Amino acid sequence: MERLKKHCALVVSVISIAVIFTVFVYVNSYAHNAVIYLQDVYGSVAELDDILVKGNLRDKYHNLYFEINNGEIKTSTKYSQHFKDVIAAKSHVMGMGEIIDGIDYDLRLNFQGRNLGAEITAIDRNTDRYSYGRAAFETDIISEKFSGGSYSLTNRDGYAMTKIDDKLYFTVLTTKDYTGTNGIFKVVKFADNTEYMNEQKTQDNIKTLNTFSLEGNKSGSSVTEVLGLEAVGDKLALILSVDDKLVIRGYDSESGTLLGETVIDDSNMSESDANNTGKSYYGNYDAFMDDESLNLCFRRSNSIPDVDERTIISLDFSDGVNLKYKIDVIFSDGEPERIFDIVRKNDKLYAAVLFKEYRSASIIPYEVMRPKHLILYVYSKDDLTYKGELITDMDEDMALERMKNHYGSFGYDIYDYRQFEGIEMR
Amino acid sequence: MKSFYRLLNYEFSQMFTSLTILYFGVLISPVLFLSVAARKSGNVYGRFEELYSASGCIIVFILYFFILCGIFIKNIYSNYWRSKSIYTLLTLPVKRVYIYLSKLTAFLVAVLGFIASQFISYILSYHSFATKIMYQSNGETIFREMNNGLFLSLIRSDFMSILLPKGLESAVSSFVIFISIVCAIYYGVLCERSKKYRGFAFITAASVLIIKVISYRLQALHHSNYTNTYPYSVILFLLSIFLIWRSIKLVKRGAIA
Repeated sequence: MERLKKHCALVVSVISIAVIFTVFVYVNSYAHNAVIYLQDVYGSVAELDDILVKGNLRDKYHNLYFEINNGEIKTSTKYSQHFKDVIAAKSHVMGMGEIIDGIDYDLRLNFQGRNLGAEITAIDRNTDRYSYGRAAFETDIISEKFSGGSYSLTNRDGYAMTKIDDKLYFTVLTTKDYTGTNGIFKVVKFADNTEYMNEQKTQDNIKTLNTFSLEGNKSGSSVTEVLGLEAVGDKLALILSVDDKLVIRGYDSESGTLLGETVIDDSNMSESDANNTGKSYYGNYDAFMDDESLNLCFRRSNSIPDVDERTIISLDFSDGVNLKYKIDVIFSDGEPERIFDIVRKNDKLYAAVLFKEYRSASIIPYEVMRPKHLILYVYSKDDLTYKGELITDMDEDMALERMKNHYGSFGYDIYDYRQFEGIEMR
Repeated sequence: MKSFYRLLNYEFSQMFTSLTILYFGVLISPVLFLSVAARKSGNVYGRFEELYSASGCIIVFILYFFILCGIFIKNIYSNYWRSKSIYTLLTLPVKRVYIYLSKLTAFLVAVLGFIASQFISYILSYHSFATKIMYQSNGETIFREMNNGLFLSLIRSDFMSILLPKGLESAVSSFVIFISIVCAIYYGVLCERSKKYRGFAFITAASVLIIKVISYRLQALHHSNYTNTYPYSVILFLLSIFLIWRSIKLVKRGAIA
């Protein structure tokens, strides 16, 4: 005892350091104990061999990064020290513009009589002090049905804007109630805080790349609605509905020249699909791009509950605009919450879709608490060749929430619960 | 060096009994508080780290930390009571720097032991109470442990993130905070003994910095505003070095007798 007392400081520090060290090692090694594996539901996992699937399962405290390659799943864990370390949820707020590269772009329309003016504001949220930019100009678009207060467009503002190399491109999402000339516009420069009030300066900053006529909307032949503008590599894709057919046009983003056009023959963009035959497409599509291809997913109308019919269209932009793949699919694994990615590679189509449990089958009062499933699909020709679910233990976070008495309202921070984010396929 | 080692163990052994009792308290108190908290039905639906903070274990930890600081202060003052061993210490045939450094190191070892006890305590309480948390599976309510629950509760507890940093930046910050607390306490007593009350200005400065950093770090994942803690760590570290240098000067001059 006396000898121990002579070395007590050493003994205590050795034991303490050993304990602290063990806990650190423990935390880092137990990170790998998270449940995450791919369960084949249909077909062989070898179907996934051509691509690499990667993604994150994260809450605000940590991020479980995973990669699926040749049927093997590899994971690594990262911890957040600041809120900025947390991978942000990609979310759209209705009518609130689009956040691209941390810059919040907002497209607003104003009317001088029936003539349409467009104004784009950019708020940079990357910096501590918000920097504000503005560009505005008069379009040649005429609103036939404008009646003072409100106007309607085909889609959410986010569909109108896209970005290539720091430059913002946009169009106006006109419905068949607009005439005149629409176009593809490029914001050369945003007027900064000091030039903000100078109308001339803000107007010079927008360049018209190409125009297209909406006069058909008056005569009733080639009725044109603009659904969106997307960037495919350094090219622009304009998504239109012409005479209720889906039309995709490709443009060069520098010169604005038309590179090609594809009409999807058996598409039906009309809103009034009286019989709900599952043929009419909804305008709010999901779009996924890589350098050369554009993959679009349209939901089709139908009247059967809990059946989600979609059409996936894959286009190649390497030489003009060519239709490479078109498939009708039915998502029946739950309510699709979000399509993370759609990729075409070697004439196969790959899709990663997040589902939540059907409302009808669920006794859970709050939508956000319903169990979620991430499912990977592979399509070859007209058939599903593989379906697999990524099984995880993420629902345990919500399982606890479901047990609590929320007294009629559930205030929550979605970052408190593990959620999938940034699932990509290459 | 040998005399430093002997002094260090001597100083530590002076606190040994009180520290043993303190560590034991850190180990078992959470279990007691948790067992009371777990009787309230509302608490057993949450995550373990929520149960842990709802039971008051964090406040208990802070209380114990104050007691630990009290032990340091008592240890310094005890040299001036009864036998006035400070005179013996100052006349020992060792460098006076060693007298200061040995006490400081003894305090740091005590802090290490305190953190280690808290880790063991957290793991102990997790294993005794994790299975008291209710789950619903296939419509059935069961008591069971969350998969990989200890790991999740350790990384999700804001309180534990101070003791268990999740990256280099936090690790540096925590390390500097503990060092500066110990240096500031020791320096404070030396200032009081040598009647140099102006020194308390530095202690106030250190306290303000420590409070700012800890309150930011406890909220770091719940707010979008970002503070880089490295500059704070550097300032606190330099301040600690400065306090050590001032303390050594006071001890050398014998101003503390």
